[in-house]
Amino acid sequence: MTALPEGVWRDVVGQPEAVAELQHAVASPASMTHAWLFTGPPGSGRSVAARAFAAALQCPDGGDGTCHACRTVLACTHADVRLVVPEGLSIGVKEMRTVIGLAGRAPSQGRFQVVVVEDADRMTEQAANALLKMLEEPPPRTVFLLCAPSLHPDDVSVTIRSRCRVVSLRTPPAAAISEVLVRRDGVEPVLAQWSAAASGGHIGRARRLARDEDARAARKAVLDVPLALSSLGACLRAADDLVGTAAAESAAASGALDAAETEAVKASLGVGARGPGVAAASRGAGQLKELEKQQKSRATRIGRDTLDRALVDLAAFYRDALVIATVRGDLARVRHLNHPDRSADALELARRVGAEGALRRIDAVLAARTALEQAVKPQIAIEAMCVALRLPA
Amino acid sequence: MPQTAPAPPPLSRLRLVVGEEELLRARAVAEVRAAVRQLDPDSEEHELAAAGLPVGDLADVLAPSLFGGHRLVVVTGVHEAAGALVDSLLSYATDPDPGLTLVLVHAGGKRNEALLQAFRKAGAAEDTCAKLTSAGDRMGFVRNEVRRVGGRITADAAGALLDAVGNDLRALSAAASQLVSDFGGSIDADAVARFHRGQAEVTGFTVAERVLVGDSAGSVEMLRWALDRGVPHVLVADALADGVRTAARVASVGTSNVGDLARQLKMPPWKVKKAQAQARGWSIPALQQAVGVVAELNADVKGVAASADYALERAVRRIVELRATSGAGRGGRR
Ligand SMILES: Nc1ncnc2c1ncn2[C@@H]1O[C@H](COP(=O)(O)OP(=O)(O)OP(=O)(O)O)[C@@H](O)[C@H]1O
Ligand SMILES: [Mg+2]
Ligand SMILES: [Zn+2]
Repeated sequence: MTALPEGVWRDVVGQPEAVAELQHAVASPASMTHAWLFTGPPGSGRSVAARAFAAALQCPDGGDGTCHACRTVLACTHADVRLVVPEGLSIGVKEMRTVIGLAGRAPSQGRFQVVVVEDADRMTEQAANALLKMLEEPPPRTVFLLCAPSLHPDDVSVTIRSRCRVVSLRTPPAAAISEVLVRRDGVEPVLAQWSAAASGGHIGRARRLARDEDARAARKAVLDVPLALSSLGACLRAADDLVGTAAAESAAASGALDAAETEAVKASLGVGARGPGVAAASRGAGQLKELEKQQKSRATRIGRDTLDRALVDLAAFYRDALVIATVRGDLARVRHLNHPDRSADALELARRVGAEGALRRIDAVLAARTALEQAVKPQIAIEAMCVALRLPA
Repeated sequence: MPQTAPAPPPLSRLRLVVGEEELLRARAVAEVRAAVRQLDPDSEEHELAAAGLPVGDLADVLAPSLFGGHRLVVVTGVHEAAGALVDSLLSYATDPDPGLTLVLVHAGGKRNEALLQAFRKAGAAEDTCAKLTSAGDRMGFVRNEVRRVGGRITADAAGALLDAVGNDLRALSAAASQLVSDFGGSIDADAVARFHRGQAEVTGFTVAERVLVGDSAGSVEMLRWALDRGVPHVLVADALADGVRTAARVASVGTSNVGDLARQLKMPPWKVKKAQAQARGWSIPALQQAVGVVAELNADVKGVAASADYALERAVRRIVELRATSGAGRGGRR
């Protein structure tokens, strides 16, 4: 193995080429440019890489990871680094204009004004247009760092893409993920290896699997689905479970956030014991309504993400079955499995459905993902999927 | 209506409008307002919501008026009134202004009950707007509604209307006045049946029902009818998905015992029976394919298809077709 990166680069795991390129840009101002686009599959560390780069740009030592600049950037409290993150389903034009307004100023203490747009693929069209104007005439010391899953025009418009230098991250290898889990999060090495292997190269997911027993149980429940689909009734029940779990997760995750936010807004408006004046009450009602809207959109997103994760796991599992079927069940000839801990089940699945059946089922899972993107009701999309995944008699 | 005591005269100085039934509360307040206007066409009127109401705002409207004339102050949602507001209402009640009618509207329940008690002690007149819980009460309500708009309804017709419309008072009230305007003064069971058919025709569920029982001409006709009357595409698509799902559930469980099914599927028995009727004639493989059709339709009506009208009609035909060809496979594997 090559030497591990140092300083702020330490947590950008499994990306030696990208790190080298970014370090070079920091070290030689000639190769610096004002707009960067980080692409890579979800969980590959786009945001982490972008933040590390932001820190290195502000740091007098190119990202030693210990100075005040580095620490405040990584803690998201640096005055000249702005993060744009979607709270609900999208990044709106209002949010974008605010940030752009601030980003146009000269840096107050750092060397640059840095704007990090995580999930740039979630910008609305108007927000993207507002950003594009800025990219066309960039202020001299402002740097934009955008993150998106891919260069596909659905993710980033061609015009924005053409103004950016692209840094593409790859799926980090399991060994690198497991190393960071042990080093940074103090996870047991055996558990770290298992989680890294089961995560499909998604660092955040590996971390959750390692630290959260519920996440492991949820993954197991999902991977138990394919071999349980022996009747129409079983398919409908499995669909209920998948949708129900997503709804429950969304309720649990957003419930905790919602209550605190609502209280905070109420407190800031002085609603409570005394009661506000009429004007304050109506202004407050407006603010609360807006907040409610955002919370709803976030809950929808959490539910969708949960369901999407289940679908990704399922598709990967059928891929395992496909691989096994194509080598006629000879596990010794299989080099890589997405869910290595479930190889026995994947073998059984391969036996039951065959290569062609596995392929058809992968398509069914992907069709369900597409349907969810098209706003088909989750229950309807997942039921249709489970029925299409039903085992042959 | 269930009220046994005659309604109190509307102009008393202190009034309470209390109970869970929103429609009845709104009406009670409207009656008071009408009485005030009759007494004094230039009356001064205020309506304030108790939640978050500053005591000063209340004091302003209750303060003696320089202009004479009768005044009306309605405070809504007093169950949500804060302590200070309650105190100031209580102190007003000890010496109410004879030229002012103060109406407190309370949605029932225990909150701020002491305030109600004190008003009652101070001689406040009261309109009770409790939920109509018994069938007899609702029957009386329907009769009364028909009478209000100048009609009469037979007992079996009122019963049929309750069966058809359900227990929501606003819906019942709307149906009553629609009936009188459609069928004139006297309403019998036959009129209600015709009226109900006319209503039902425009819901997605009736389309779904026709589709599931395999009525190919009827289902398309009903679909067009529904769309003509502006039933949203999405609602029809959802109703179809729901119908297919329910039939699939009933068909996939290895029993036809209504009680068992109701328990296992967590559905009320009437829904089970209806679903059983709709599941008849379907094979499991055909139902599975129908599940796929309704999922595709759902995407279509959400913008994937160029024409949602066409997508719906095609889905309806496909599902009817699936059922027609599934006869051979009846009782197929579950
Ligand atoms: N390299 C990394 N090191 C540590 N945690 C990471 C890394 N990459 C991603 N994560 C964590 O994974 C979680 C989810 O990542 P996310 O879904 O945002 O995918 P991503 O956008 O590709 O990841 P990132 O945003 O880091 O690029 C986040 O909590 C993030 O902190
Ligand atoms: Mg991210
Ligand atoms: Zn530093």
